[in-house]
Amino acid sequence: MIAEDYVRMVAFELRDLPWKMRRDLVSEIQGHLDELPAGTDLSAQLGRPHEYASELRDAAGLERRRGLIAFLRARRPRNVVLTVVALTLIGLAIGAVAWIDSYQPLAFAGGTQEPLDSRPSIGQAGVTVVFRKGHPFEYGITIQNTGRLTVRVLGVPTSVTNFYVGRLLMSKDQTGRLDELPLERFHPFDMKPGSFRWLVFKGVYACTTGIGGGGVGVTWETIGIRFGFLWRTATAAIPLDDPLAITFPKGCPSRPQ
Amino acid sequence: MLAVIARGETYGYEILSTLEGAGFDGVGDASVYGTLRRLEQAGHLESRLAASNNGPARKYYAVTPSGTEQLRSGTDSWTRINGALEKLVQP
Repeated sequence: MIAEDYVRMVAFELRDLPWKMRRDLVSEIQGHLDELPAGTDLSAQLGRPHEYASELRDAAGLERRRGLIAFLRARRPRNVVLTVVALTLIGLAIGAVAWIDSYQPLAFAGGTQEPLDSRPSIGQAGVTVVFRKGHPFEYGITIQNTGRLTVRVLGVPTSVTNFYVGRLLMSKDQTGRLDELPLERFHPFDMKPGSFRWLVFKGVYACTTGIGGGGVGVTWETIGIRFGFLWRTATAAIPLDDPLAITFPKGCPSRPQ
Repeated sequence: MLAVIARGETYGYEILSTLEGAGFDGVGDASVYGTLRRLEQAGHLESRLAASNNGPARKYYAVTPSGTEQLRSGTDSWTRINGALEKLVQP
């Protein structure tokens, strides 16, 4: 057995001792072995490594140490610091990813343009409008960024409860009133913290819902807004203060009959 | 150990060689280093590292005033015990 292996095995047997103490002991053992004549049978001269370590412990009065504190003290301080820093960074990264994954700052901003001929819903909040195939449909809401960071608004996903065909329009940023500025066709835009704008659904009533029988209806209680934040895209379901109910007196099959 | 180191600053291997030369053949290497550690922790020894031509730096030990007192006390005890034993074993 060469000296390096012997020292390494003794160090392993002393692995519970504080790092600096172990380093000093091992250094001294290393120095001692270097003084021995070349070719010395270390195990015969000094005993096997675990016996040497045991004898060293007995002579020095070093009991075997257990527990978390002993485990930490046995580590090299620099490595403990590096490990703590690495774990902290990993924890922060995990926390940041979790936070980013849950970040959703978009909200209803309080402004609503109800459809023509709508009337307050009976017995519930919001308004109701009767579906009239081919007639103009225009409905607008304001959204705002209530968070502290800019997000990119990507669009409004197509829903199975859509009942119109047409375009999605939008106002300029910071438009509080719908008639202040002309609308433009929707395109993805960055929404800064505190800003708000109108989104307007403009088209004609059309049968896209697949509702076949008469007397049924659908209600928009939320509007889905697709948005992007850093690497993540998600759909925010924005609750409406005034849900929009659409009734279909004659039904509205999605396929032409 | 204190008696050996009290002769002058020395290091582990030399201490062991001195002990063996004095007839302490059975003293284990690990016992010497373990005892050095314990005496240093108790404040009876002080140490310094010095460069060596034969490998890593050597750790040289010297006796502190506390160690000198401990040596004197141990020597007195040993002399007393040895004297008593001699009286007992002499025909």
